[in-house]
Amino acid sequence: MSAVPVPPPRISEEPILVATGITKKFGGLAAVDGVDLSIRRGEILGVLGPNGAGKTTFVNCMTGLDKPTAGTIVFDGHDVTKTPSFRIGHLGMARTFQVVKPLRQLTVRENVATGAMFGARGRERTAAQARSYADEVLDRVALADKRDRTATELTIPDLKRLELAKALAMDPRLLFLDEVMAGLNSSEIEKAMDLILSINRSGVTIFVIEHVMKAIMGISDRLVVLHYGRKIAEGQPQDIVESPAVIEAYLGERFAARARGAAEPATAFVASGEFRKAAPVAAGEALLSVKGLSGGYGEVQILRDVSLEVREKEIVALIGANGAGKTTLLNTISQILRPMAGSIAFAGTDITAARPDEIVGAGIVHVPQGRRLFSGLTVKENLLQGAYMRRDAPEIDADLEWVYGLLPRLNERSGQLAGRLSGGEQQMCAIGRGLMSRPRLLLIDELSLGLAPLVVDHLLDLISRINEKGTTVLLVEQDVQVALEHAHRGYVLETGRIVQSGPAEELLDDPRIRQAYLGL
Amino acid sequence: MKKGLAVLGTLLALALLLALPRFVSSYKLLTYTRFLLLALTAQGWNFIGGYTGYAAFGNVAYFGIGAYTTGLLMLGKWHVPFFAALGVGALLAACVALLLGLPILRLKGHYFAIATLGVAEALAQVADTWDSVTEGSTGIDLPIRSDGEFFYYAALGFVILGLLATWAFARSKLGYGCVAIREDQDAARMLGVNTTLFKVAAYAISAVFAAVAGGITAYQNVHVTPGDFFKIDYTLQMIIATIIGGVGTVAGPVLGAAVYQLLSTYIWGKFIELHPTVLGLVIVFFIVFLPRGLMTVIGRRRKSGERPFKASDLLANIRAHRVT
Repeated sequence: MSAVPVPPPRISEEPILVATGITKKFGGLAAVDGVDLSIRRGEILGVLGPNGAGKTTFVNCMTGLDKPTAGTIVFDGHDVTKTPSFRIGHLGMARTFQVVKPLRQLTVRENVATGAMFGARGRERTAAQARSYADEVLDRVALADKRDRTATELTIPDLKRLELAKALAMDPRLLFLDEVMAGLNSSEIEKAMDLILSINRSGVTIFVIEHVMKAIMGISDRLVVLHYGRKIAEGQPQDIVESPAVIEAYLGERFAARARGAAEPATAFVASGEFRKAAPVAAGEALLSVKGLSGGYGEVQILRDVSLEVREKEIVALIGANGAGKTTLLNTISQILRPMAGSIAFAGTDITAARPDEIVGAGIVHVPQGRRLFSGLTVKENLLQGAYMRRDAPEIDADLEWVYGLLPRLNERSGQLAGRLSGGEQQMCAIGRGLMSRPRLLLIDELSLGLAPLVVDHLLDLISRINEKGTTVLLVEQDVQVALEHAHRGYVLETGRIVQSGPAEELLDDPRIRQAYLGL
Repeated sequence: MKKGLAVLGTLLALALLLALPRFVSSYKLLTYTRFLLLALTAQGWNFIGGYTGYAAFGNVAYFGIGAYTTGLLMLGKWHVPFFAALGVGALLAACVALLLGLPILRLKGHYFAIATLGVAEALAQVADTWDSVTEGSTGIDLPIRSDGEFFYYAALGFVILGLLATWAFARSKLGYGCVAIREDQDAARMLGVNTTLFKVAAYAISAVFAAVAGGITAYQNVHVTPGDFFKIDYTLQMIIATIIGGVGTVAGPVLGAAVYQLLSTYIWGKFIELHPTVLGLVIVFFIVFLPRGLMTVIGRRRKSGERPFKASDLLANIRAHRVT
């Protein structure tokens, strides 16, 4: 079986963009190192690579935000190597940002209208035309019902959709998508794949960076793999995922098996390999106990009468669609949001009205969605901020070494500013910072967001390992399969209520869950 | 319906302002004129500071340029009529803002604020030392016109023009582009916004407003000196007025200027000695409880499902400060 069937006329051999010898150095470090790449008119080109491989930097060079140290870029016959970034959009290129950049105080519609106003030359719109065109685009990306919200009120997946909508509104001929699917669950990913395919079939060439293998295998005509700033593979998707170099650098054995399965629509993903899972404690005591909790933002109630329990030394997965209230629940437990009703107890103490710093002092650490790093501090300083409440200096050093051991990439980058890290590296740093607090209970929101499969694999094993050493974990994860494979128990949250709970194996076998969240 | 209400309210306020000189003493009228002139500078600051998000701390420079240009043209050899002189002053201010804006608008955050402070200081020194033109620290004297209503109506006319201009700006591509720059400069560039051009344009517009206010103030005050027309108080007042009213809103600066002038006059009368202290406390109150200004209380943006402002929101704002 080959990859996606390709009707010959859609993709022309003549390239829409030719990049030659692209190099980008930051200080002494080459983030992109002599990459030659051409994008064929009409194709969907998938780009893979470990976190920090230079994928986003490459897109920054193509779109003028970073000026390449060396190399040339020709778009549609024009040399655009030195073209200022704002003119790139006028020429017909648009992009999304991995670390989303919404116009925060504007409504969703105004965000998209701004894109429609200044887009491709010859198709500009007046402000009024742009506003009505924005509605069309929002319909297309299924954000129409949120058009009047301000961007700050959106969840991360909706912000990703907004990124796509802004770029689409510019009428690009070449569209760079930088991890627009991170944080989506299986059924949402399928919708996103359909959307990207329909955009492509309407005549837009697409360059897509994505870690979601199911998606990238399902939509790409060709794949390119970057590693340490160099191109290590290029070709048909099926050949690429079989390539030993790619498996070693990026996929890992377990995900390679899944990716192979993904290209054959009839087969379900069957994960292979052994999973580390700590033995559940027979009748462990409840470490965290949430009873009848209601909460939300301002007057908008999101959580309704939520009760759940996390026992000592358990890994509990919290699953549910985007917008179900998973992040709100974690935020309420860690007191970033005040509960409206109900009670939260931790290790026998009521913490319903505790301050966030008391929560941390008690041993609850929250790794938030969207990282929230101190971008002006170095990686090492960020990690040490995690130990801010601790008073045991010698052990802090030992733990720092331990975190570096678990996440070697952080060691390599320890002197760099966190804001300069790639998206995936920032996620690692956020998790490392959480671990530095030596938590009794670790709340993790979207562990795999923006991470390469191999890294997700490592991190999940890592979580099992720290769990074996006694840390209890409450995990929110969009990859329901992966989450339930590693957890002992799971809770399913739908529109703010717990609708199901039980041992992870049972949930994983439950036909309703397989249908709703795994798309099987 | 809400829109109709807003239009009705605006018309009513306008009618009141137009009829005002018939009802108040000429001394009181001076206070109202001062409010309008403050509103004018605040309207200008709103373009660069409010919509574009660049904290300009040197807009008094353009106030001074407007004052001196208007004065010098009306005097001596030229005897240019007032409004023509005012126009030339505004044009000159816009040109200076264009030239200075190109380099300093590359700076961000505090660096930009400090650079603008420096610009204002430098221009004050120029006015102080360029004796052959500005008469140095002695200053210049304009023809006398003691017709309070003239200044009041001139200021009112420009404030109304300013409201219309702000309203049109907020709906124009220029306005959208400037807001995009405020929210995220990289995102704005990727959306195709020529960030340099837009920032400089917003800065030049803000300079025009300051220059017009400066020119009217000069004609009214008769005597123009560097010490009076380049003092940082003007910059601070226009910023405070905009913040009180609502940064990046159409009517906010005017509303804020009214509140500021009212409070300032009232507090001046009540607490002669402690005037600045009390005024300062009131300003702190506004910034803590209403960081996005009075416009959030009066006219919430017409978004679906948004409820009217309640007193409890004041406390919610405090909490928002604490948490984030």
